[in-house]
Parts: sequence; structure tokens; C-alpha cells
Amino acid sequence: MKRYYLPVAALIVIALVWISVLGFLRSGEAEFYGDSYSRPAFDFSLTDHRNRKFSLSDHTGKVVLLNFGFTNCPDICPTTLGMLGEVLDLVGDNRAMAIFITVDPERDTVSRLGDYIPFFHDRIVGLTGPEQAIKRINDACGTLYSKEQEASEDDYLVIHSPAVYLVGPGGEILLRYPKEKLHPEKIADDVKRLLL
Amino acid sequence: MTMKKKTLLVFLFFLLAAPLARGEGISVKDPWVRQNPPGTSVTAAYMVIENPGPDDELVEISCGCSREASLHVIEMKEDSDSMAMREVASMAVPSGASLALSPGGPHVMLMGLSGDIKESVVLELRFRSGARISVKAPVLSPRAAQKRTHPH
Ligand SMILES: [Cu+2]
Repeated sequence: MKRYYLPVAALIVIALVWISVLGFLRSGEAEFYGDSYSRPAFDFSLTDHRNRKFSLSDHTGKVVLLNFGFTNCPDICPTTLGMLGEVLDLVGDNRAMAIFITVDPERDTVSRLGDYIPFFHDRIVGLTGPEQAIKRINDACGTLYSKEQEASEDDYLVIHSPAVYLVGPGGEILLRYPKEKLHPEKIADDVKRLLL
Repeated sequence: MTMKKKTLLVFLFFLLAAPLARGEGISVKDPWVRQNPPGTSVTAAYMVIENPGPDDELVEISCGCSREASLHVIEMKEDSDSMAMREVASMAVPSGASLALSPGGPHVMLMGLSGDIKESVVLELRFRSGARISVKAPVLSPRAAQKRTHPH
């Protein structure tokens, strides 16, 4: 019995070393924090909050964090914009950008976005434009938005996606962060990795 | 009496006395209000309501700063990956539990702000039991709000 003790122990040690080596190698190619969401490259043109034309294709090579909202939104939109501002600070690279696309172009004019957006961060871009264009971007992201029925004429809210979509350097939507994954440090880590 | 029994008695005493020591009443912790972005007249208020006493319910909230204050919960629309807020008439604060009003979750919505809010606002809460609490909530900028909800 005793004669087998040493070889068996040696085998166990070797096995453990291999397991940790393999584990280490796999952690090197760890998954992204965001949910993988590969959608084909797409493009759109809207007007930014400084009244300039904005085309997604003009920003190829950058990582773009895209989010939908409206300025009359009391809770989730400002929460997400504050979070995105923190992501931009954490990444600290001007190849990372965040865009806020209004789902309420009727009220969210260029000048309204011009007042609203810089309050959160000077590198967040607010975008507005024709209803059709905004609908197409929602389609590309696989989401819908709609005006809330019960509210009054000018006090309505807009139901929309709370998620943040990450557009990779090639212009394709790579990752999606649902509401429960809006964690600034972890999103910043994904962005940094894509910009390496 | 054995040592074990004594320890048990002391433990039981503290267990029973704890609610009394805390005054038994509902209390509000960490209230804050999101600073409204320029040009807007809506915002939200957040806090943690702790209830060491019997089951209760938050039935009304008001603020001198706004025309309207309402209780909102958030619902995901599974079919479209979108999210909506729904007004509720009350929010339960069960005995021995706490109710957290936080960004992206249940919150107090303030609509029709009479002007840009600065420094702090006073919120008046009314409960089913008749209890009334008045709290002073500091107004937080986006960066300060991030720090509050995501401390590093
Ligand atoms: Cu609300």
C-alpha cells in the first residue's frame, strides 16, 4: 500500500497544476461582461445636440455606447447618462464615446438636447432627427418604443429600452447591457479591451 | 443558573428590547433627490424606509418643490425589451423590513417642478398607520448621484 502513496500523490499534484494552467489560459480569453449580441454593421445619420450632422460611419474605429431615452424621463435616463459619463471617465480614451438617441423627437429638439446633454458629461453626444430614422435604429437594436397612452398631451412618458448597446470599432453591435448590467467599471473594462 | 442559560436570557432580553430601543417607529434613511437637468421639470427622489414596527404602507408623498409627487414602480415589457413606469397608490413596508427606493427601481416621481431644485428639498411622507415623516433630501448632481449609488 505504502509503495503507491508517492506516485499517486505526484499524479494528483500534476493534475492540479494542469487544471490551474488551463484555467489561467482560459481566463486570458475571458468573456465580455456585456451579453454578446452580434448584429450586423449598420449606419444612420442624425443631428447632434450642437446642431451638427452625426453619422455613425464617421466614427469607425471607435467604441460607441448607444442608449435611448428622452429628456422628460425622471429616473432611468438620467441614471444611465450619469453611469455612461462615469464609463467615459474610467476609459479615458477619446476613441470611446457615448450617444443618447431620443425616442421623443417631437419634444427633444436640438436646442433642448443642447441644454440637457452637457449637464451629464462633455463627451456624451445627444442625437435627434426624423421619427423614421429613430425607429430604424431601434429596429437595428432589436427594440421598440412607444408613447405612453394614459398620460396627457404634453406630459406623456415614452416606453423604451433601458439597455446600453455597444457598437464595436467595425460598426457592428457587439454587446448589449441590460438594465441589471449597467455597471460602470465592468462596462469600462469591456470598452478598454476592445480598444487595445 | 448555568452560564449557557444566562447567556440565553441576556440574548432574549436584547431581542425583545431592540424594537423598544429603536422607538418602534418608521424611519427614513439616506434620502436624496436627483438634480433636474437644465430645461426639464421632472425628477425623482430616493430613500430607504425602515420599519421596525408592525406592517405599514406608504400611502402619500408630497413635496413643496413640485406640482405632483407620485409613487412609481418599474416594469419590463418582455416582448419589446423596453421598460415602463407605473404609478401605484401605495407601497408596502412590511414589519421588520425596509423599502428601498433607488434609481432604476421603485421611486418617487416629482413632476412639474416649480423651478430648478438646489441644495435640498423637503419631502412629506404619510403612512397607512397615520404616521407622518418629514425629511430633508439633499439634491445630488449626476456625479454625486453616481458616487452615492456606486461607491468605489
Ligand atoms: Cu417615474
